[in-house]
Amino acid sequence: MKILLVEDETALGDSVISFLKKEGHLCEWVKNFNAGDEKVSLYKYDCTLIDIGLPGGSGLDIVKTLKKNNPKTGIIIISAKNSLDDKVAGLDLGADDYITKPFHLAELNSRLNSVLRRRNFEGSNEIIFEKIKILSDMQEVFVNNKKTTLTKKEFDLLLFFLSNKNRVVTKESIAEHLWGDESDAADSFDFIYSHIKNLRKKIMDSGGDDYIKSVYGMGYKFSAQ
Amino acid sequence: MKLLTKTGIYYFIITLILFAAGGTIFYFSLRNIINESITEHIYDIKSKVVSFVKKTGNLPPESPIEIYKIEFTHREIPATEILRDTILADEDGELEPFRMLVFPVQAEGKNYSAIISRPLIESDDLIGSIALSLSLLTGILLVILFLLNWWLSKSLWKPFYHTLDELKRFDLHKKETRSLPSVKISEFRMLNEEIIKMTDKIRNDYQNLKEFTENASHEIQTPLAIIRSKLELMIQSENIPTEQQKLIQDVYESTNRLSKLNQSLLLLAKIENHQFHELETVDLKKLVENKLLQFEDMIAFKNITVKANMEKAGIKMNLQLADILLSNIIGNAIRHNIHEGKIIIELKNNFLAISNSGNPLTTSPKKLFERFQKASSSGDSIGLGLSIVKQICDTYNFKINYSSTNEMHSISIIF
Repeated sequence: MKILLVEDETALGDSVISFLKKEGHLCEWVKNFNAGDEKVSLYKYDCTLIDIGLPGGSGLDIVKTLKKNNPKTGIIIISAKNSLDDKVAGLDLGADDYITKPFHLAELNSRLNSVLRRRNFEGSNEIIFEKIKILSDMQEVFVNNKKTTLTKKEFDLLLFFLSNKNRVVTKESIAEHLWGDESDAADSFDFIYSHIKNLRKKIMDSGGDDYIKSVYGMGYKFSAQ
Repeated sequence: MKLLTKTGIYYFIITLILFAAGGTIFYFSLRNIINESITEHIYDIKSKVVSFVKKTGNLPPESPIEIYKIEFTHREIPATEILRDTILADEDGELEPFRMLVFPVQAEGKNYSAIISRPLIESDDLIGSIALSLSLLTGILLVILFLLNWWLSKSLWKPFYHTLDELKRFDLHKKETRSLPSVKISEFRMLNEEIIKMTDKIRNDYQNLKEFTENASHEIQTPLAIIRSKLELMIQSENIPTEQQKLIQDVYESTNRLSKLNQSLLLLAKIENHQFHELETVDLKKLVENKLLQFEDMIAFKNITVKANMEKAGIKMNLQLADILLSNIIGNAIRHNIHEGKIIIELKNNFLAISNSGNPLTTSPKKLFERFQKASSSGDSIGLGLSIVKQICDTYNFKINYSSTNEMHSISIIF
């Protein structure tokens, strides 16, 4: 997929680009408002990641330009401010999602994938990984072509893993993805472990393989055997 | 005690002392004047008697002139002239003080002693009437003093009380600056000017401090985002040596902790800066139910029993803050709970209590709402949750209270 990143922080942009390139995306990166505005006026992208606070102007204005020229492009707003006003303003302009710094790369990737899915297949889409098939709009999961019932959290967890397959996903990013701000209420990551255990069991019970591996005690990796 | 009452009392005491002293002096001088005029009058009558005797050679009749009695007694030896005060019985037989003048008179070749006497005013009467008039005066003075004080406090002290009211209403968190009216009395004007200067300075300093906190937190977000993303990329590399895995893990965990801490501080700063101003009537019952759904997993994981006894309650506040408030309290009730513990939620129109079982507090309950107080051994708690709760309650003047009984910790809020 063709992705445009508009982000003035070089170090952060580097990380994002390097992460997304590994996913096989075609990435372009500009560092200020004018360049960003020009890019979205001239070229077509599948999805854009736009920082609000940019040298030369507000990222929200790039969103406006984009909506006028290429309304089908996915838009994810990146902001340093966890402000409801900004969020509402961004989503009102037609952005697909809003993510606050500091974010987990896995989280950004998961949201990017979700936007791409919605944009490209207009809602109805399948995700296939080995023996697993997910109908994400129906929230249905098939393992070995057998319907497997997952709880909402297990479904979200599986989707998050599949968005970040073959990568190490940290426990913190899982907790934040599944429970957001409420993740603090959990005593420890034992709690995540119990969810992962259940998910693994359900997949294997339906005849799937053990795709989830623990890595360095820091997180998990979802990959084929 | 009011200043005016106090000065009033002093005035009154001084007046009493002055009146007592003045009354005494008045009494003695009045008595002197009266006595002198009586003596003068007696001598007047004497000279009339003497001239009568000289003209006629006879004694005048013993009829009294005004209240002066005149008597003549025959004496062999002429009497010596003497003026003295004595006590005699009056017509009613009562003893009364008299002043009398005895002097010799010669008439018809005989020696007589003439006595002119008149009753003196009793000093009791004098003192009585003086005291009466003085206390009457004092009474009038008191009334005047009272009226004066009332008038003074109403008019003269009015700007002072106005200033005082403004000071009482002063709230550091409110942005509005109240203007104090200019007054003519220079002391009050100076006071007002100084107060305005002082409050402006306080507000400015406070504002700067708050802005600094918020800006600092904002600025920290970006480097944090960079550190975190670099670490996440690093984790992706294959074949990290075991000893470095541990190092990376520690750095990563601390970064996450710092990030949460920073977000909480930023939230606190935003609440303090009143950045959540939209108000609406929040359906607390529904919100609590939603929260319980969100926390469902954690509650189930710890096998906690939740008992909720809730009535419908609408509270006027910012929805986001209400959400944060409940998240923090319920989250706390779960985090500090024990396995197989319980949570009891009670909600009545303006009262919410959330109690949970748990180990006894290790810190003082008074410090519970202070920043960076960690009530339990949960390592990943940053100790800002309850300060955020307190801050939200303070913003809306809600009363929040912590109590504990039988290993149950309870946080209650009166809206």
